[in-house]
Amino acid sequence: MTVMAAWSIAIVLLLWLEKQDRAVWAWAPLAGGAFLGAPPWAVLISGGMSALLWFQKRDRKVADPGLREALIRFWQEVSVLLTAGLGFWAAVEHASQAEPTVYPLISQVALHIAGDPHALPANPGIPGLDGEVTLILMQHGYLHGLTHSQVEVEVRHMEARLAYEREAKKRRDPLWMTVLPAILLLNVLWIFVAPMLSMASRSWLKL
Amino acid sequence: MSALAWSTAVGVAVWLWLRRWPFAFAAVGWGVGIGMRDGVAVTASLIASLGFTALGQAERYEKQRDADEFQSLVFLERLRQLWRVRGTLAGALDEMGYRSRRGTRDAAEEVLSEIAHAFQVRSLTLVSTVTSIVRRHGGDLEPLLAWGAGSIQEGQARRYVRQMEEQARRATVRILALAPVGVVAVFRFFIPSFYQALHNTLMGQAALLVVGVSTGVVTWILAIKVRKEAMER
Repeated sequence: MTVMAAWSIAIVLLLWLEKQDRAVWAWAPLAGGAFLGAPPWAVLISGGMSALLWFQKRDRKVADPGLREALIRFWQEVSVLLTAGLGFWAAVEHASQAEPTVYPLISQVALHIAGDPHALPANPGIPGLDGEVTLILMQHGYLHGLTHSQVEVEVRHMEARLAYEREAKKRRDPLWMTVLPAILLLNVLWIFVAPMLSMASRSWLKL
Repeated sequence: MSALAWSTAVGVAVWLWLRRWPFAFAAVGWGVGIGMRDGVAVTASLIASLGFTALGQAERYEKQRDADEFQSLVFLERLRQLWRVRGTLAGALDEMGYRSRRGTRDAAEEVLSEIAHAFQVRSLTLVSTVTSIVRRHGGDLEPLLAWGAGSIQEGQARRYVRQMEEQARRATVRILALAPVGVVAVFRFFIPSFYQALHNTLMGQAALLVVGVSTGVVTWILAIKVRKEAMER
């Protein structure tokens, strides 16, 4: 029981401090408890909660959609500003100022390109393929200029990638949709088994 | 009726009243419980009915979000057509019946932002944000509006494909959630000894309670999933 109490407090603290990454340590006392002969229900409950934490952690590990959405917005703005007749650098500056999430990253890339225009700058933390595309677009725009149609094509791809990733995430979730009917199927079983067991125990007592 | 049944009944009624949800499912729960003349059955069916009510509300919300998305699509398509004709956002909105005045709080970008806020559809919000940011320099909004409408349509297509599989599973959940009621009814009318064992013994009562609680929890989880999914449009 002491191990279980310590485990519960640790989980609550981890949840409270939003440190799901460290929730893997929750398995350690659980394994110890199982080894030392903790009651099976306790192991079951704690195992279930640890699994839930793991799921939460897994979902959080997915690349930050806020940043990618801001990046899509940023390029949309650049595209519209290019049609208004602004130069590439002015459009980038204006659009990045409107997006505080991507502003530090874009300004870092811009400084790199201004320093050495022909070397591909290091990615300052823009996730995935969108980050690489952003670097190439920035460098190309600086050296040769960009048209709004070029930017639009890339924005469409970025948006489609993000949408497909979200869709894939939702398709991975239907585990729930398999588990829920299974639980309900068990309900029908209880309804049958409970009277049978009680009747059997009564007749056994009569014997 | 036991104190447990009364407290559950009051709890369910207060919850439904606070959430402004309909009492229909709870009333069916009451009916089943009273028909069985059993406090535990009333408690179980009320807890299950709460889950069903949540699921019903979530599906209603889903329909509303679908309608919002459809309205946004129509709005963006119309705005795009009128943008081509009139050449300005204010002109296009004006022809659609939205009055906007330049340089005031009723400027075209503000009107668009209010519409986007009302619909809460991602593509429309993005179009509104971009238009408000580029308002100082202007620019051609036609590709942006085309992108917004196209993005909604593509999203719809992807979602319909996924929902075709999900609908079958949702129907399974609904049928299986109602199955115990049917089984109990069969016991009641055709196997009275089984029904008595379910009705009078501790084990039978425990089974009824487990069935009610798990049905409530399962339908509630499904309702949360449906609602979460419906929010993203």
